[in-house]
Amino acid sequence: MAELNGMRGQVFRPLPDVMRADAVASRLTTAIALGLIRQGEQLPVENELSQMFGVASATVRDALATLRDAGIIETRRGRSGGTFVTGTPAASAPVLRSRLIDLSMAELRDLADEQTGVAVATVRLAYERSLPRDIDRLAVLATAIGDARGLESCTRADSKFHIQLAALTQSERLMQAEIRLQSESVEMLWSVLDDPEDRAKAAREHTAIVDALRAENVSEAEARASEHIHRNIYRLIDAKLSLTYPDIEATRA
Amino acid sequence: MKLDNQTRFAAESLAQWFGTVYADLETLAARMGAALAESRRSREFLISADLKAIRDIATEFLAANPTAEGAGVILSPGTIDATHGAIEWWRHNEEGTNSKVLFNLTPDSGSYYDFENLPWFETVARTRHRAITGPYMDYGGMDQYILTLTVPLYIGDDFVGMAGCDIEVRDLEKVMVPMLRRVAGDAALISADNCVILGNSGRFLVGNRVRTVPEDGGIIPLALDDIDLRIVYAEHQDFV
Repeated sequence: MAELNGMRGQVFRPLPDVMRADAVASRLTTAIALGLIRQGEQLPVENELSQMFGVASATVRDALATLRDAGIIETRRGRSGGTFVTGTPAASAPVLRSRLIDLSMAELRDLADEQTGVAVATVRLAYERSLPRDIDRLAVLATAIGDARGLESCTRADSKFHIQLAALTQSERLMQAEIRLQSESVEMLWSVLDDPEDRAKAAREHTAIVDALRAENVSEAEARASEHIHRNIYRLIDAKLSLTYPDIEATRA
Repeated sequence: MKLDNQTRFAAESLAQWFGTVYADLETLAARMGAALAESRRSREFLISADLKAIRDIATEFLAANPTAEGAGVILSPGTIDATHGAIEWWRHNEEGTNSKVLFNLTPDSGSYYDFENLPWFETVARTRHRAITGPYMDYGGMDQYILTLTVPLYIGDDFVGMAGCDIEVRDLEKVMVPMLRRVAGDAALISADNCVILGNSGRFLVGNRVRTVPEDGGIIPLALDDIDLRIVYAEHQDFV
């Protein structure tokens, strides 16, 4: 073990409580941002949350305090009391853009690589396991992005389609992976895509995946899903470069 | 200015940048070779006390080359004893100081780093020239997505290994995208194997192979001794 380099030596340190509280807070924030837990919905009580997340009650309390401070949840006392979702995590376009500037093109490509890996497996298993009625429901979600307006609504419409597609695999792990990938990418994507044509394109690309699944053409579905991700990452890189090097951009025009 | 002229201009800036790094590496190799020769004297093998000077020289190099993630020397098998070599590698760490990178050099153990079979070692050992490797995932080494630049290291006339540095792909972007963005089309720095090292748009993604020369563009080599790097360019194309 002494021969392990510095990075891997770090792996086996015990996780500090702060990190666990952050992890719980970020899991809940993601779920609320993607609309998996809706406005007005009541969260399970502290004891339940602590069991579900496998962390101490104090850790759950810390996490909830973070969300409360951010105005995302509210705790009411009394007979009809409890902790409720009252706000959406602030995903402001400037914050998202600065996140995009911080990411390198290599990291964006890597994000797309993982998305493609998950998407190809997702489409293959959805083909194995989904029924015609599942595809009908997916078809409705596929076009929702076309009618969405604004960052929040686009984020939800887009991620809902992809997470529902992942749900058709009946694999909890794949669905969790998709939720994580969506939380890392979808808000950033719609913070830079603001053309109605982009929404129409996304709707067409979603529909092409659904149509291929309906036709039971799995290799076509894989190709359409990969291409959809490829186009999104192309646009993200484009936006990243324009934001990071605006002065040089001018000479390209 | 036409695309090919803009690309030629970018190729000059990039070649100049790489040329400076290689010149620094050759200075590093010369200083380390001299320090090792002085310390080893007439002994057949190097001992750990001989390697002490490497730290300061590598640290100076890292201070002068902030884009580099790590730097040091690799001593060929047969330099420490009949079969063993060594890696003396230093990296920038979060505190801004340098820390030594430890490699598993015990054969037959799980994460054994068989460096003598890796391209950045093998190429220099075979050609005795400068080499560039990557981009690649350095599993078992830096565990990062990097490029490795290496130059031969001599003690007197004996080839004993190499000096080199690692550059993280994400750090290279900051230096090179401004140069490549001055090409008003799609352009990318590619390796001798036609793999993209860095592009100026989403068209050429790092790591992907460029399989054909674009019809509306071309390829311009970087003027560098022994190093085969080129820029591929074409008219800008939106994702269709």
